[in-house]
Amino acid sequence: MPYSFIEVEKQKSWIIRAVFLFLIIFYFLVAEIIWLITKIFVLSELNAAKAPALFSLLEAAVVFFVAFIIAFVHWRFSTRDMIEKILNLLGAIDPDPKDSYHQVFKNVVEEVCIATGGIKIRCCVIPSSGLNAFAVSDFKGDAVVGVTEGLLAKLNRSQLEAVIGHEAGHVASGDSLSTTIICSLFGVYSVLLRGLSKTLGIISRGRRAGGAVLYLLIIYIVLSITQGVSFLLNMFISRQSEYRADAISVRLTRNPISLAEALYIISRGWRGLGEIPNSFSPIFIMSPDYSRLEESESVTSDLLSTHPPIKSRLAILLDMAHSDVKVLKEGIKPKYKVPIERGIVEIKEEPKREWLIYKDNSWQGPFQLGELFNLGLSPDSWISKVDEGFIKHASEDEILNAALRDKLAGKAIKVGDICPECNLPLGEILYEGTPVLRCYYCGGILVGQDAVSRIMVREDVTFPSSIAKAAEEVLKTYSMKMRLDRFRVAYELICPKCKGKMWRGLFSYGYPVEIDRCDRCRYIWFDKDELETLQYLFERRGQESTKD
Amino acid sequence: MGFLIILLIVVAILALIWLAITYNALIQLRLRVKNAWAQIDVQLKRRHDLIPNLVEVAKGYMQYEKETLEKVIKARTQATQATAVKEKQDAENFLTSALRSLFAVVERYPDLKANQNMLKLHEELTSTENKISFARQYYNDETTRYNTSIKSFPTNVVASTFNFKGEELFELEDLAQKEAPKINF
Repeated sequence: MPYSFIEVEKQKSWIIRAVFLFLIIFYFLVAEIIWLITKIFVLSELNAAKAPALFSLLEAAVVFFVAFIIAFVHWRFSTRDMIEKILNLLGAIDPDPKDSYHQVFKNVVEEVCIATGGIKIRCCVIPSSGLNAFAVSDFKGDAVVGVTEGLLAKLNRSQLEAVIGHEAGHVASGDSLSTTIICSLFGVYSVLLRGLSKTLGIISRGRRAGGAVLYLLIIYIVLSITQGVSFLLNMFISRQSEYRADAISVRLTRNPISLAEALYIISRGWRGLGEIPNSFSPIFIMSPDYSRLEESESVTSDLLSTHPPIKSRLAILLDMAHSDVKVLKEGIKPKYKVPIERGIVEIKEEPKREWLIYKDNSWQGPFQLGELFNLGLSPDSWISKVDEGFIKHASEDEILNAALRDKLAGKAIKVGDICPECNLPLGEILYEGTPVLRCYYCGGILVGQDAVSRIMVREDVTFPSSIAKAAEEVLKTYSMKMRLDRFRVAYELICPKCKGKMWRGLFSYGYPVEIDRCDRCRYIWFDKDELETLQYLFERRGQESTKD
Repeated sequence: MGFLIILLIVVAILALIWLAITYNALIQLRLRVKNAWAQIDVQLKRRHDLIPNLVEVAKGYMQYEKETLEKVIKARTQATQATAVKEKQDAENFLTSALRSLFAVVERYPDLKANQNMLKLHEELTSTENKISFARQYYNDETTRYNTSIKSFPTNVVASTFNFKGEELFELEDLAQKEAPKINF
């Protein structure tokens, strides 16, 4: 590693001092200006002869003292639980241990940590389809690296490793600490500024201008200036550090091509994350909002953007690997896909159908335990086990007797969640790497709210042509359906999870596939092929948007 | 005369300070090498622990591939028994190639490939292999730094006086990987 821990510690304290000093000076200037304006007001009221001097050292000292206290309080409050605050703001969550993509992500982070020689990094996932990654750390030495679901879906293992290497580079070099501090110190301002500009707008419309407005205006201007200064400060740290983190990533993974590929893919995709203030862009690998500024290389753009232009980052990396952009573009292969029937992995195997039951004057079956109860199993029902081959009462069988007793005692039979369509137990499968529940019989799938977004961005499987046809059909008939269904609310199914009612409607206006959604727990039930149709539409939309 | 004595004393003190600093730096470097080696050891152990599970899962599907499985088991036993750096290196390289041939065979069994446990184990082993190679990379980096410093002047004087010996690098014997480097600087 280019940085030993001692060097990192040194750099840390240097940045911390510089930022704290900046805070004090900033508050001092603001307080002094406000004080001077107040004095000018008062002076104009008072008799000029009795008026004290405009500036005195004692007053300046008092103002400085006040500024120091404000700066200290601001510092303490902003830097407490920095990581948690930022993670909350970004909506980042811990990885799901059952999800195979998340498991790979966790493993890759561990691998990179080993390459750095033992830095500890926690990982997080942002449930967004955008492509981005970030790193934050705090004084205690805790560090978090997060990526979006979109990034996990789009990058292969070595590309992901390169991106994590970049983020680990920020952590190792201490850059992430400074950007985290600055973000948490000045992120507050951007929120304040928004509120203030609203207030100012209201007051100016009310035409009751006075001293208060003047103060607000001053604060507004000062805040805008700090916004600018913090932005510059960020860029100063951030731009250089991006190159440096790229270099560390190459040093760790010895793989500049993969990093170049990853950067290229990220730059071509959508990096947005929703409602994130601009002031948070320095913690990301590429600025979440696209700006032309970042892609040009003039002096002003160099000053005015937080991230270096992708072109020069790529150029450096490709130079290391003796390659160029054309080769890079050709080298990026689409992800390996499998037909859908091979893309499903069963976590829990389907319970055996081993019971025959005598019902309505005939032997029926074989059934599973759960099915028997649906058919109205009672202690005196005649049953037979397939591999045993003799007939007995249900009460004579150990397993059935125990289950019947449980039922009498009012306990739920432990057969898991039940398919809302056919009343059979659902099996757990991995679909596109995420755990979902599926009915063996009708092929319907139950998916949690967050898992839907994961499935939509992932593209592990290919669909048969029937799905494509169904999707086209959905698009064609949807405007008509909308008119018919707008006011009809149909509750047809019972939610397998919370036993609430499920409401049948469109997934969204953009993706007009009909689904059943539970109002309470937000689980979604897809009948056979509905989920695939939705995915097909989503992927098609994605392809259309990258063509432009 | 008095001036010369003072000069000598000053030089001697400076030399002593330099000696102490160099000695401490060397100690620190050596400790880092030891630590890096411990990291590799942890990951190798992890791989050894995973293999019995892997064989257990694969057994059910691969009745006709006993040989491959036995080779993996044998390689694992050898690797767990090795102690010296060189010996370990050879045993681990053998294990790596045995595992690689096992996974090549697994490709031929679609049912086994899609088995949940197999997928998990495959991911775990891939990750462990990567961890081993990163740990090895870190170990080699640290060892090179240490070896360079004990051989370069004037540190080598201190190193030879206090008997600092160079450490061996942990190298790959696998020819396929040697021939296809990821990058060429």
